[in-house]
Amino acid sequence: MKTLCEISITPGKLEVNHAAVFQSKETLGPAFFKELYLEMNLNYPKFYKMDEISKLFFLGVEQLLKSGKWPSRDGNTTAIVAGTTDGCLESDKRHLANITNHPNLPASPATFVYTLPNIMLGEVCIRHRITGENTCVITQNNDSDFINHYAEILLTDEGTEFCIAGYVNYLPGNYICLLTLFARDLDL
Amino acid sequence: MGQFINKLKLEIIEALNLEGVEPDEIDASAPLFNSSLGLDSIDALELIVLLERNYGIKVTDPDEGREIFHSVNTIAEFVKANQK
Repeated sequence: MKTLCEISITPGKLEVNHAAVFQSKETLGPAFFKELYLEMNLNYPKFYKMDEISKLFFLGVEQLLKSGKWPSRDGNTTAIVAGTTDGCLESDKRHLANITNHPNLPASPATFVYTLPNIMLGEVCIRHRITGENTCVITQNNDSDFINHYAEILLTDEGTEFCIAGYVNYLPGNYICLLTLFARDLDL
Repeated sequence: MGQFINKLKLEIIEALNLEGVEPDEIDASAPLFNSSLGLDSIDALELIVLLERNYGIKVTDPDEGREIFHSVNTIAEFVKANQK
């Protein structure tokens, strides 16, 4: 398989192919994500409804597909495999606080809908009309060997031309998004 | 009613995370759904929760819900008629 592009988002910094393309003094997740969203000139109001890890993954994929020159017509031949350690823990905690502090009121649907780690993949699939295989796995840390091997297997399928693969994790004060856009090596 | 409409708009903006939307950008008589606000079914559920949480009103009939949440004006009228 071929590597078309790599991106990383860490507190206050966005890198493409290991070169910094955007830096901010703002490192707190929610504020930095909003800054990055505006910097990228995106017009996607649903972004503001996402939870933090979904925003992080969304922004990473936006940059990855743009920098990797992903042909947007190929959503049905694009797969996604992502690893995460803490997944949607922040949404889980928010949901727990809602139902614990207000037991007589219904839970917030907008919070509840994000209490699954793979929803971040769903948001990206909706945005880019990606209908290929998608998998979200919980790993103890960034297991790039496993993720990259999984991507390699997915790309052996003739129906899969591209694969977004990587690791994304969000905790308040500490977040990371490491993504690679792979393509099937047509020379094989 | 004007003040209440504005209050309701602020509550809707906050509940639905409509970042950057100001109350006077929402036409109180215009349809809320299938509009430039980009609201979806989750937002519809959040509006039901908003009515229960802020006004003590439960909406249980989905067909009734479609009429109630047509616009900010119809929500306001429903709240005024049913507030406990």
